Amino acid sequence: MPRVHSEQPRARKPGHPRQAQDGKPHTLDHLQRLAGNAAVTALIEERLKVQRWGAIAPPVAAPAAAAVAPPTLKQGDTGPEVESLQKKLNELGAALTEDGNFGWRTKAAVTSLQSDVGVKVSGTVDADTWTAITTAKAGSLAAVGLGRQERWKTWIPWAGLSRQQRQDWTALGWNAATWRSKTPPTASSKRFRVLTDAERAAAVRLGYTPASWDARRDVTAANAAAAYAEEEARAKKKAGKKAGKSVLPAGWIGSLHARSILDSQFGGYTKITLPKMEVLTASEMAKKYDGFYGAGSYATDGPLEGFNKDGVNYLNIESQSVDTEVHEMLHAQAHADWKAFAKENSTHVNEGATELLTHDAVSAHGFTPSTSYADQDSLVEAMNRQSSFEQMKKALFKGGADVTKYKADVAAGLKTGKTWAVFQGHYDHGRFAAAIACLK
Amino acid sequence: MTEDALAARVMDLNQRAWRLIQADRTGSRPHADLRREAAELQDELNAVDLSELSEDARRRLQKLLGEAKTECRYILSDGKGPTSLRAAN
Repeated sequence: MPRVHSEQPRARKPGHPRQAQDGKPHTLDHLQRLAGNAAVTALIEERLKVQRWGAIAPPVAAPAAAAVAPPTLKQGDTGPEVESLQKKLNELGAALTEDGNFGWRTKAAVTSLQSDVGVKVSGTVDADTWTAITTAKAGSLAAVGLGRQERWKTWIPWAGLSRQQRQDWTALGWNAATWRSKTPPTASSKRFRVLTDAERAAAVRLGYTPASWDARRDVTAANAAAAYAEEEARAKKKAGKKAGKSVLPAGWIGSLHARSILDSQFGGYTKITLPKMEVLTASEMAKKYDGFYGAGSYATDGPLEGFNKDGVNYLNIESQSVDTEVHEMLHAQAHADWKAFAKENSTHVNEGATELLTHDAVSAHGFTPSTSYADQDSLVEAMNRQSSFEQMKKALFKGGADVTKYKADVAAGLKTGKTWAVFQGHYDHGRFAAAIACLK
Repeated sequence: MTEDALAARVMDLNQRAWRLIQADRTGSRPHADLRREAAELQDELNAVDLSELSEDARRRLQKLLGEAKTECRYILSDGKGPTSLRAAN
């Protein structure tokens, strides 16, 4: 009677072949000698099925597609099933690296597709999502979420875009051919914060916010204003009664839009933060100011362009410009070292530099900048001629040695016999022409 | 007073307010002194009349006057009320 070995399954380390009864490892050669080629081939096929679907395949006679449950895949999963998913998503229009790693990009593509086809948006590939993926056709409505869905729903031919739009989409990697075939470029799958400065500027001009870009939600230029207003209204609602009630006037750059612009323009220098801002009408300003200082205070001191209380900037919408929020938000990004230098005795250098950056940012995004500090602008432009606009930006955002270098550059540009004290004494007291005349 | 002279006057008052608010922030001077000077400066600021100026000039100088007035109020409120945007940012 042959001895029967009842072998209990034991855990083993991956990559360590299980030992056979004779102490030799089970290699394919060994199995082939024991069972023959056909048996080994069948085993390999079964193993591939297991790998593909994550479950034991049904008997050969059963229709595989009907009986085998597709694997549930989610972020963090790896392996050939994920690679297969990525390949399929790419066929539908995604721009994923087919590396078998279910990362945030793959999840974003999955959620976009789920959203478009109306299955539960979870980012996890379940049976319903598999069905949607396998039945969708490239470029179809079901697939459009993988690229820039809203734009493709109302798809405009390349030639129908404005020149600026074509330039912006080109900056993001599109061309006429990929536009026509709806094949997104690599930039489409990058997070907003890792886009280049030029790509960010293009994306914002096209109407994206950092959030909408990362969520792969298209906001076309035509409805960008409404989209920002919607986001700001949502932010205000979330903030509750503390938030201002005023509706932003047409063309006004609100906080979220301002942050997008600054992100696109200066995100490479510093992380742009969103300071608290409330935009108030003149009567709301008066009510709030009088609430702090007593009735009649605002009538004596105002109209004010704004004030700050407990970290909140209150801005008077009736005496501000379209880019005021950009300007005030820029102040909040300035490095402490820069503030110490630029506000040493007056605020003229700080205001001039901030206004030059405001102009740089808003004009790059299609707005006409306002000029509130013409004299200060001239002063800082003259200082920049001794140093550079680029060095001024570094100094303002990064502080430290960049401030030291900027000041040294300007000091080196003083005419013979002129000292920094003389130069500063002029501009501190508003004698801008005399200050500028101190420079070479 | 000519527009240039008035602008220079407003700029000077604005600069004085800035010095007071800086001193208040750093605590470099006795608060009682700052309060007294802020009250005096407030009177001077309230005496400035911009009504004869062009709209552009009036708007530009009103901004500077408003900043200075808010900063004086802030010192006189012992730091309890709002301050100017430039002082806070």
